[in-house]
Amino acid sequence: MKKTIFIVALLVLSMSLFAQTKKIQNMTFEDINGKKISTDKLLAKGPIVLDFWATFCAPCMKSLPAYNQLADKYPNVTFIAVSSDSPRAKDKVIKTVKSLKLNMTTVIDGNRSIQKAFNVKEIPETYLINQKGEIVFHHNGYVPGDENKLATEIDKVLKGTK
Amino acid sequence: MQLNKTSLVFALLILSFITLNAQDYFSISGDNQAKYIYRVAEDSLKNYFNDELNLNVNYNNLTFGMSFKANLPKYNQYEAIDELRPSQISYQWDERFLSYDKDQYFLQAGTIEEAFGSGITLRAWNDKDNDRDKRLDGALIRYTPEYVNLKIVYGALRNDITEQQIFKNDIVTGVDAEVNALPGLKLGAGITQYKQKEATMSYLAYNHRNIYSGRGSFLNNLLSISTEYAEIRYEHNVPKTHRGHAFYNSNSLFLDKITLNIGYKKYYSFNYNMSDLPALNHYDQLLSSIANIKTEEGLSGDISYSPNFSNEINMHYSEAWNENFKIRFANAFAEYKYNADDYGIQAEYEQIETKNQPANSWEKEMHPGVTFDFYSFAFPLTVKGKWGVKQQTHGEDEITLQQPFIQADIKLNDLFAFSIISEFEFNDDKSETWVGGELKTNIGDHSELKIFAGKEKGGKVCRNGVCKYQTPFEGIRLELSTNF
Repeated sequence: MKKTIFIVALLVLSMSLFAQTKKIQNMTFEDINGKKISTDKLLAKGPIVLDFWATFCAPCMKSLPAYNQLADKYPNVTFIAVSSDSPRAKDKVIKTVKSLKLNMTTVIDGNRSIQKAFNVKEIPETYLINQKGEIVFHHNGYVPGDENKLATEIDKVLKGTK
Repeated sequence: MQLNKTSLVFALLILSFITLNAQDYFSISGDNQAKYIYRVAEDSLKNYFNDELNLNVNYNNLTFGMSFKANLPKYNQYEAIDELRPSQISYQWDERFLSYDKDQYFLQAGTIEEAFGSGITLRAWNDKDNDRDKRLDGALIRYTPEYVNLKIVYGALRNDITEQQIFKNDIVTGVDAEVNALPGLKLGAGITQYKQKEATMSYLAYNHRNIYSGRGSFLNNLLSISTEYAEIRYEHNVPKTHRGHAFYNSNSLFLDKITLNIGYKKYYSFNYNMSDLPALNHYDQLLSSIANIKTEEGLSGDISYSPNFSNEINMHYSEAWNENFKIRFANAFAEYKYNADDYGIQAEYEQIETKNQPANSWEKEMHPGVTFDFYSFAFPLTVKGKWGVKQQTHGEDEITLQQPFIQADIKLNDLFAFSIISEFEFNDDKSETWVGGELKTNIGDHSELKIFAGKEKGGKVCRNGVCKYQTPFEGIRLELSTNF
């Protein structure tokens, strides 16, 4: 059994070495306003930024206003703030979104299906997805200034170089 | 010979995955976390390895997901040292599911996590805060056309959630429907049955419960109103007094620079394992966690003021009480945030007070704290400090604990981040210290290495720019995480 576990670990490591650009499957969810969202339909219009956050996460409370400013700067990119708060904290999420005056689409991932699809273990975690559905940028954590890195990657995607 | 056959099989699997992964309709993704732990505790074997592999295999609209954990040796802090063996492996399938997702239909079989509404009626999830796995093994159907959300759940509780070992394999069946009746207005209703397979309690107690619920919510740019009501009926010839109900309401008003909120809750005899009741306070604590009570009632109020991007003030006050007001809880919270171009300051104060008159006990905790962020240093630096004071009175005994906390996070460059954390708890009679440091670095585009050394208290931990759950720990921990 020890050998099997060792070989499985090797398998995983080798898979990461051969890691091709990850593509997302179509996902459908509902935002806090009750609007149904399909990632395929959004990608037909432009790239997507997914930002995983929670109301108890101090770095997230800094990243959200910064990414909200990027959302204003890039109207052709859909910014989706995915809250990993529990469903019982829905009202707290809405209060936070409204008091921060976020223009981003906000989704509460109460059953963790979106977090599982992206294997999110820590927050904040940010993904940039191009119109082919490929994850072209992934950033874990936030310190002020990280939004500039995301902006650089968005520019590359919009120019078609990524 | 065995090893060669196994190696050949896995080599073929690797080649297959690589080939299939090149196809558009097939993909594999996931992550692997490998850990080496050197545990300082005297009653341990010191060296431990564990690995957690999370995998999603997607083929067209089908997804197979799994989470596999292996430990070498198996760690059990309660096991006698003589019973521990360094070669003892434990492994478990933490999660396995197969799902089909197309258009408005979603079907899943295997490990189920789901919630109805706010979770009052049903929430199947892994409660890491309380170390209780309330996920189900069963099936889930979701039908989500334009204005409707319909969910059907059937499953068995996969793990026992108590030390008494009486709840494993309890059956949960539930249906929930929600409609977008008008722009911003949602109405929902649900029925859930929770059935215990073995009646291990006395014959006067219930065998199963039916939970009926209704809810409504409204949200627009000015208002948010959310109300939910659930009634629980204990079946099999129990008196009418064995019914319970839960009522929750939250209302927010969004003015230009000010947000106001008031909330109310009342939970009466709502004893149900699969429920996740809103606490309605900043500390996120239910009165039922303090004492065994029949009724929990409470009010809360919030004010947020953001005159501009640089300044933000938040204040909260809430109280909860039982049916005779002899068990009470109060929570006050206030914070001020200031953001400039080069730095940020956050000052906060939280106070929690609990009173249990029948037990003749009273507790008060005060937590003032301040956080400084320096963005434009050569190395971005965050310094956070808190000083908690906990006063407890049990009968004639009085205890006061001082709880200082300080943390510094520094990002050395795009590759390295370092955090040092110090927590203390002391009074005249005792003291305890938790001091540790964590170094984080990226290895390539897909991997991250973390090294922690020292002692940490655990819980929800935010450091080096991220937040996650961490169990209490003392020793050295190396963690290699790879995404693929």
